[in-house]
Amino acid sequence: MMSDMKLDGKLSEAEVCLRDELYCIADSKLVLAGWYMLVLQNGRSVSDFTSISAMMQGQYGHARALYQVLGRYGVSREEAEWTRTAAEIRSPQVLDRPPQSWSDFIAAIFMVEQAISTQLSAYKGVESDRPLAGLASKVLKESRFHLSYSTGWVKALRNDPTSTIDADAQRRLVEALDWWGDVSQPDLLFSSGLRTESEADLRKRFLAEVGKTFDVSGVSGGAAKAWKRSIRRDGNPGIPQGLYDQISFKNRELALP
Amino acid sequence: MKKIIDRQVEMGGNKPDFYEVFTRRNSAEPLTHIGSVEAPNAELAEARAWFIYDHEAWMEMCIVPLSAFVTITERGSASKVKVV
Repeated sequence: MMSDMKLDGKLSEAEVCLRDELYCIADSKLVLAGWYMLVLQNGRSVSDFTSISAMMQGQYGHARALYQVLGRYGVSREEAEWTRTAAEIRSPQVLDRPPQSWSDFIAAIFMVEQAISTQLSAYKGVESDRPLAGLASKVLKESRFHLSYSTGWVKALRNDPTSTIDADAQRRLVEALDWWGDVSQPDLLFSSGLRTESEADLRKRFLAEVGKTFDVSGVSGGAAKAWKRSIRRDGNPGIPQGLYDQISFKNRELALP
Repeated sequence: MKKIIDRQVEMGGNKPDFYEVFTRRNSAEPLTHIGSVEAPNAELAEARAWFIYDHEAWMEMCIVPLSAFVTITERGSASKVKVV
């Protein structure tokens, strides 16, 4: 497949789009793993502690597997994971704002896990790229329990009449939708068959999934003016330096498998 | 301001239930009880069971709420189920 896309040894436009999207998905998982690492001590029980540890481990594993796919473009996993600065990380805007409470944490991970799984699900049926399709299927299978975890906590939090979970979710939903900030832009990955669903359909499916748990009726459909597909964000690229400093490994040799 | 922690709310509700966990590695094995998890609903129980008992690549894992068990020995007496 890739040889068909090469143009004079340079990456084709579709190839650049796929590389960018894989960076966005992998970086989302890397930053989400960092969130789990930082929140771990706040687990409400030993089983929560174990669950958050497992989800952290899962997200790191998924990120690294996706970084390995970037080897097609001459980027090593180590380069992708270790050498980039805060300005080069392409995780979604929703993860920039730290969790304000346990309830806000649950709302945020609910949205992010759902958003990543929705986007990745459009790769599991790509016949022309079986390695990526196989990886997407495996990641989705493992992520199912991450979704159960956040959905279960949403239900549990609603047992408390003073819970802020629905208000937290509304704020996080608006932030999460920046992931699909302008679905009217040309969608080369879909039109070239490298992704099986369009951005517009994926956004719709995301809202339908979220709508099973939260009210999504007030969501506006306006396009973000400065949204860039290569970073899946409205505005400037990169994550806050403070977040980067907290989630990046200080001694990378200790983290290498 | 002092933070007030309501343990029941923090743990996810007023009445957390126990769920018994059963697994098998292959179709030749019977479903075997391997432990239990405490959770306020089935979704959280499913996730906790999967993450806690992930030491094997299970072919099948099931959870059953403890409240669904019907004890048929010593019915009516003070029989107790030991929670592992």
